[in-house]
Amino acid sequence: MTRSSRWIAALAIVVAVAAARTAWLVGKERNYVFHGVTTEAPLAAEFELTAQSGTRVHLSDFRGKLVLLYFGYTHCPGVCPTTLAEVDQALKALDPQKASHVQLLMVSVDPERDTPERFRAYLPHFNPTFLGLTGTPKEIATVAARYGIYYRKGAPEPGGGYFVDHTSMVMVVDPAGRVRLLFPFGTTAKDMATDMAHL
Amino acid sequence: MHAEREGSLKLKQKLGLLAAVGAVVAYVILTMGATRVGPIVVEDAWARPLPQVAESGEFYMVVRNGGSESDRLLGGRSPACGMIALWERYRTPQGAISMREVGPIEIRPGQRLELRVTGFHLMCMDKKQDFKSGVQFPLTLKFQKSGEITVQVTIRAQ
Repeated sequence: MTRSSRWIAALAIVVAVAAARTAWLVGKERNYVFHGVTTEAPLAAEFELTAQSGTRVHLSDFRGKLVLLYFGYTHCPGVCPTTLAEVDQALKALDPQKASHVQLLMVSVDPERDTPERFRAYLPHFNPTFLGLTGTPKEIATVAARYGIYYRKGAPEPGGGYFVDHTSMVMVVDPAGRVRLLFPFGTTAKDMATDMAHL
Repeated sequence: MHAEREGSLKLKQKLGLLAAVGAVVAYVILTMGATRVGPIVVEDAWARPLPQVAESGEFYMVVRNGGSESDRLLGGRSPACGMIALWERYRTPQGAISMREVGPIEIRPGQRLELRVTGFHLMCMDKKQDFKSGVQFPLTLKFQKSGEITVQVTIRAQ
């Protein structure tokens, strides 16, 4: 073997290894299986609601961001605090650049008690970027129905309050405005973060 | 000869002492965070941090019955709550998550019952203290046969 043919052989090996590695990585990405429930990527229904700042906002205002849409309420004793804490953990597990393009929107299923002031006092505890949206009971009913969210006010409690039954899942709307994933209640922060990194 | 026996006795004593220390350490480790009354053991009582404005929270823990008879958890009280009730969370036919107040919760002999967000748990209504990460407060649980048992609830993320 001449000196130059040895070099060519060595180079060929390096190129072959690099190509195999790239192919493997591409295949791995393509075969990524989401932890959340995948959808047929329907367009997320547009809505207009009142944000915690008091201004009216549209879902389309968040186009270009990954929106985590969650229907819940601030008097919720267990499920909502658990979900909001998990989403916060998921954002902390994400690459900061990616995380800065994620917006959690919590739509109230209890519009009578969830005022913008109430959201302002409640949500920052979980994450300063979380936004609470409320509206008239009719507006909320319309938005919830468009997203297939069920909710129902429970019987009065001794203290005068009440709880609200509701579908509890985080819907992931991609930057193009399509519902791509559903995270059912109980999805871990780690699984949410890995899925978001792949959207 | 004599000196040798004395030496081996010393070794035996040392080993005995070591075993005793080991047993104490093992006991302390095994029972850390657990509170026992008779056959009932309550471990790992905790609650999530909550915004100050939240009115209700939930207590989670593990209750084990090491006895040969069933016992029933009747309820509880804590200075951190205006009222404590037993609740169960379940899924409705519509796929929503719902809750209901339940009567006494039975803990069968040998059973390890986990009180958690997706099942039975204690609801702390009209909370009187801030559920701030790292804070602890007492919770007294009442059992039908074993009586009262007081544990410390720790506020932590999970």
